[in-house]
Parts: sequence; structure tokens; C-alpha cells
Amino acid sequence: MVQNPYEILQVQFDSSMEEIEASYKRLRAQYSEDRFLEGEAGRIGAVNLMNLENAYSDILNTRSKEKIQSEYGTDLGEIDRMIKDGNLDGAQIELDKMSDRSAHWHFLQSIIFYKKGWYDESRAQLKLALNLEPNNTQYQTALSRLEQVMASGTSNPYTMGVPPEAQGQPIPPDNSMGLGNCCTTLCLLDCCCNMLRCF
Amino acid sequence: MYGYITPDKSNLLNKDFLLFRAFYCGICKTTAKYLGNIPRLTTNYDITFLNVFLHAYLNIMPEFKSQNCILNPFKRKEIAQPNSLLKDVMDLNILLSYHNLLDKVIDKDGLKYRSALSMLKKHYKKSKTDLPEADKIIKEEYEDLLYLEKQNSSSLDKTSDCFGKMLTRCVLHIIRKHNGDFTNIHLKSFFYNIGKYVYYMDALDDLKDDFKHKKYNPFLLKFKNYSKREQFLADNKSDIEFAVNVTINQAIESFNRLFIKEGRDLLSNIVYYGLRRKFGLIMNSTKKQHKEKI
Repeated sequence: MVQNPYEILQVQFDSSMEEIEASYKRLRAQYSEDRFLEGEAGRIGAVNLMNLENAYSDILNTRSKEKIQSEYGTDLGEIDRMIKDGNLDGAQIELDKMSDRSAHWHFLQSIIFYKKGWYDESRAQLKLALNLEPNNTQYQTALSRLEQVMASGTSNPYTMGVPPEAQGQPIPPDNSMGLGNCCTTLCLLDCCCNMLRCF
Repeated sequence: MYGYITPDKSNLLNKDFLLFRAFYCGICKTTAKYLGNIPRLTTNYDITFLNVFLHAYLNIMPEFKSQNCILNPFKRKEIAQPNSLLKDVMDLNILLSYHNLLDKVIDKDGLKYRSALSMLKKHYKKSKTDLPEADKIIKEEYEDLLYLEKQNSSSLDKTSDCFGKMLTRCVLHIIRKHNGDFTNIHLKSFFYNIGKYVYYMDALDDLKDDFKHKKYNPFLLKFKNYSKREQFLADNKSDIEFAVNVTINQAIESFNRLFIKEGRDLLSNIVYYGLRRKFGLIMNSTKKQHKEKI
């Protein structure tokens, strides 16, 4: 029968970390001595020590996950990791399961949409996040970047997406696949054509 | 539908205009060679852009010959000669044109669409035999789009996503067929955003007709405040500009990350200036734009 780690540590489920640590140290000292007893008592002492170490480790892990979840809401920390790993489909499935839609939920949804190239939906989710947390500077900065930088109708197309070190580099000459060389006479004749008679 | 990806003539060098025309005429001539005269009517500026891009990206330089034009027999022009890539682009154009007409028949009906559809049918069957994978892709994406339309989806992204994927998948298929790099993420992003842009332009162009005939239009469903075209565009200007500008800008960024040499001047004119120019024309127009002659 698997024993509850809190029972092994001889503490309550809602005991503080200080109480759990104190109990752990006390029991560890006792079981460390017990394992040197003769016969069966010694064997039990060794087993108890091993169980104690495992139980303490379990409680530490569980308590730390709960801390992340309490900061971001249920499992949002996990979804955040999935997005960073590029698992957008998995992250979307987990988000869809959640009925509690906090500001951070909308923010994560906006990131998923952004990475899919669904910028209009991304903007809508950012606005929803800001409705719930109007003073959140992370959301404000993201929305402002999306609307003013990414959706600018006047930004310089020559430098967009070009890394700074490559900007200003000379562009190789384009001979227009050889038509840049066509004879002057042909060019002059053709300059009045404007494809008007084409469909 | 087709005529939204055009050069900005005010910024275009003559050599690049000639190149654009050579590829436009190339589609027309290649269509006549393999299919006949009627399907030449499907030649358009958008497929011309694709024609130039693919030759440039795959580094396939076509042969140019000075030939007569069917519509202007006294004028000789430099025309791109048929090659296997041009043939594939021509077939893709027939498939896209046919499915677009089919979609219009389903959505809007009307004698002109039905008669155009029946005239194109046998040519469509031929192109489908030569490029079956592209036909499958186009069918799938139109089915997805039809489903969203039946749901009365008001999501600009969800609906334009079908077009983005349609164009990307078709282009990657042709690139792969011609042994080019079909894994480039910037290539995928470029065509995805170009596809979305074309969908948006078509929907904005059709606002008046769609409202009048109570047809599906994602902008009408999203904003719900249509009374008159100019008023609708003014009332929803910042939201519409956001959706379209971010798409155009993503296309520009992706284009800037592609290594294209020959034809780069023409292509960058279209991507940097042409898309924004066309969007501006549509936003400021009281009627349909796509019949503009370049």
C-alpha cells in the first residue's frame, strides 16, 4: 500500500514548509541511527529513511508546482512552456480545456494566434486581456507594438525584416533576366505600350 | 478576384515593366499553345506575379522572343517562351480560375459565372490531369472556406487562412516539382500573407455587391454597420487598415529574407509599393477596382 507522503513526514496536509522541514530533520536523525540496529530493526530503519527522503522530495516538487500555478492560474505556466517549445496545437488544446478565462489566459491565446499569423485575432485577445487588467504594462506594450509597429502603413519596406548588420549593404544589380539589355530601339518603341489592350 | 498583385507604375523602371509584360504575355501564349484561345481570358496580373517570382526563385531564366500579340498584331513584344515551369504556372492559373468561378456560382450564382464555368470546363479537366495535386489542394481549401461561410464566420483570420494556405501549398508543390527549396520558412510566410492579402482585397472590393445581394462577406459580418460603402470604410478604417497592413508588412518582411537576384527589382516594386497602392485604391474607391489596366 502506497503511503501518503504527509503521513510519512508525520505532518498535516496544510502544514507550513517550516513545520515539514522540522519534522523531516527530526525523523531523518532518528532513522539514520535506527538503520545501524541489529537484525530486522536495522532493516526497517533503512527502509524508513529511504521512504522519508522520497516523501520529502515529492512534497517539495508538488509545493513548487503549486506556487507557479498560483502565480499564473491553473496550468498556465505549463501552457506558456508549450508555446515557447513551439507546440502551438498542444497549447491550444490545453487552453480550450480551461473554463476560467483570466487576463493571462487571453494573453497566452493572443501569443498563439500571433505565432500562427492570425494577427487580427491576436489583437482582439490582447484587448480582452487589457480589459481585465488595464494597468498591465506587458499587455500594453504588446498591443502597442502590434498596432503601431507591425501594422504601420508607412514603414520603410527596404529595411523591414532585414537584420541591422545587413542594412545598407549594396544590392546586386538586377538585369531583369536579360531584358535590361534589350536594344534601345525596342525600348523606345515599347515605352508607349501600357498593356491597355491586354485583358 | 485576380488583379490585386500589381506593380506601381510610377516607381517602375522600363526594363521591369517589359519583364512584367513578357511574363504576362508568356502566360497568354502558353495557354493558347496547350489549351486554346478561350482560356487565354483567364490571364491576369496575379498569376503574372507568381510566374515572375517562381522563375526568379528557382533561377530558371526563360527564353524571350519577339512575337506578335493576338490583340495587337502590328506590335511585336518580347514574350517569355513556354517551358515546363511556365506550363505548370499556366495550369495552376486554370485550376484557380475554374475553382474561383465555381465558388462564385455556389455563392452568388448568375448566368455570367455559369457560362464562363461551362466554357472553361474542358480546359480545366486538362490542367487537372497535368497538375492533380494542386487541384486537390485548391478543392480542400475551398471546402474549408465554404464551411466557414456557412457558419457565418466573422473572423478575418480564419477565413483568409484558407486562401493563405491554398496559395502556399500550391506554390510549394510547384517549387518541389522543380527541385527548389520548398522548406524555406520565409517562402511559406510570404505566400501565406500574400494569399490572405488577396482574400482581403477581394472581400473589400465586393462589399457593395455582397451587401446588396445578401452574400457572405467577412468584413460585413465582423463590423455589422454597413449602410454605404464609403461610410463603412470610413467607420471601420483603423480596424481594416490594421488587418491588411500587418498582412502586407509580414509579406514584405518575409520577402526581404528571400535571396532573389534576377527579377528582384520588379518583384520588390510589386511587394513594396504595389500591394499598398492597390489597398489604398480600394479603400478610397466607391466601386470595384480589379479591372484596372497596368
